[in-house]
Amino acid sequence: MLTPEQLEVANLIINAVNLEDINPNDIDPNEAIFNDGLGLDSIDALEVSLELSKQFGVKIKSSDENINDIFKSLASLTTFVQANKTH
Amino acid sequence: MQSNLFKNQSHSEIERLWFSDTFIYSDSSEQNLSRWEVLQAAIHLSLKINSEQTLSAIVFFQQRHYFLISCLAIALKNGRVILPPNTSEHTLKNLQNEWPNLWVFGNDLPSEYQHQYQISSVQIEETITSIKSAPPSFKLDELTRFFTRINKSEILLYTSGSTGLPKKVIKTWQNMIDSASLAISRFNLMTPCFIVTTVPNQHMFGLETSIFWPFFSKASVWHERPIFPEDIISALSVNTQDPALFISTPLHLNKLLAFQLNWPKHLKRLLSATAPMPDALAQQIEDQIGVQLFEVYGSTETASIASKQSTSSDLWSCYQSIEFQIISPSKYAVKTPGGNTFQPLNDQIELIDNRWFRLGKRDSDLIKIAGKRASLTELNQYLRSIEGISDGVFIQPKNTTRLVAFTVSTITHTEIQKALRKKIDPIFLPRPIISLPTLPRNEVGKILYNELLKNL
Repeated sequence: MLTPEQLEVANLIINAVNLEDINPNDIDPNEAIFNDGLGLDSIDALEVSLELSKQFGVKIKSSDENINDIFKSLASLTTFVQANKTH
Repeated sequence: MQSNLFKNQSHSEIERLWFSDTFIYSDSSEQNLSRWEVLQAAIHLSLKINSEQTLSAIVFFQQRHYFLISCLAIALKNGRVILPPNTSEHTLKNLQNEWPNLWVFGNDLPSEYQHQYQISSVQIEETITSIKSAPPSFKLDELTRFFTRINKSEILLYTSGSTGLPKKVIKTWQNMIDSASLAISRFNLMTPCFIVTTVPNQHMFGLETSIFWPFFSKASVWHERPIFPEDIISALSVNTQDPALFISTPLHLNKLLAFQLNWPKHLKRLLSATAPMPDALAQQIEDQIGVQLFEVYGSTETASIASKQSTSSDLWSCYQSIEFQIISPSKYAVKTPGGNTFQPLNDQIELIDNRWFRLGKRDSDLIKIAGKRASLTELNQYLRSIEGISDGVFIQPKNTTRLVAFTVSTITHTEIQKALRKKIDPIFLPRPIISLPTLPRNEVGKILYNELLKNL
């Protein structure tokens, strides 16, 4: 079961990368979202980061955080967003 | 080859370029590397590779310095570098079967590769630290011997052939250097400049632009492959003394426009390759970023062979010394100084003369997204082989880059995506999947695409 914050991020991903056929509640928050999980790639990461900056004011920069950890799962991405959002 | 590589340069010029100048820029200046330091690190690293058989090694590193040092070390052992087209389970297993005793250069190995011999970035960092603590002095003779030793070593790239089956393309270091020299002269890279590129090392265009062009010219290069806009802008600002060149793909450039970035003043030129750039996008990019955009044309088989400024012409201008041979009307093969034989082009072209051509249609079964090629026939076969799918087809709608899949299935879309992920590169995963009770087919079983598209 997703938390409300995770659901919000899940919907953002689904809209950003055109996965409208995926039900957010089918996503396991601790499973990989890139590659093996939902199969997202680096261009998707870019789309997701654009939406994150629009909706939450979060700027993703790979050099100051471990980008693989941030994008590891829905849970880790949501934690990052909650910690860094500016609006 | 030495005479070729170092021709028209005095000893002091070669020493400055190879020994003194910064070649790879990192986050801090202490971590920057000269070409000489890269060679020395490769020599040290090669001593750590104890391989009894002929060395075959996959290099997964995305960072330019780890990648280049690895490739040079493998070449010094007379080994072959293998560049996987993607990291899907299917591809990795095939490579393992083809190359037993495979070595793997990279971190965070996929589970299939946990038991292979591995060189990680930790070991490469150790070699860098050791050569930095005892800087070796420059010897021209050592430099020329280094390249004489590696010039016949092979680099293997895989690409989807016209049949859709992976096709092996073998390049020697000498081939790659010869190809690079054409681009270096075309883009004037013997004048110092700074390259930042988003293209992966394992793709021919990335291999050329992030490794071979800068290594054998006066260009320097950023050590990472930046994806996010913040990273790209901060990478560009690391070296502001030289004009900067940003190299990417139409897909990536298009996404970057949405961020409304402040591009630095010393950015002087953009290069794009791997897929055709729509005219309107080229214009938008030049308007927003304020610099000239050049497209580069090439293939894994030929490396890059031509370029054009998209906003000013639809004619491609060939690099020097490219030869064409006609196969059938509008189908040509090309030979470059970096290749030993004529290679058929995947696209139809209209050859104006030996310097200029116009691009025609691509074979309709072959699709290309973000520089990766796949065959629709092959993708459809994968889709239909999934348990729970009784019929299915991929299409590439005109207004999007991503594929759409239509399926008749008893399993969920998440399950379909997971099953596909095991076989195909994520770039080809369908967005979205559309379920239908049946696929519209004519009496001989051919898909009625116009009917199908009504469901979009």
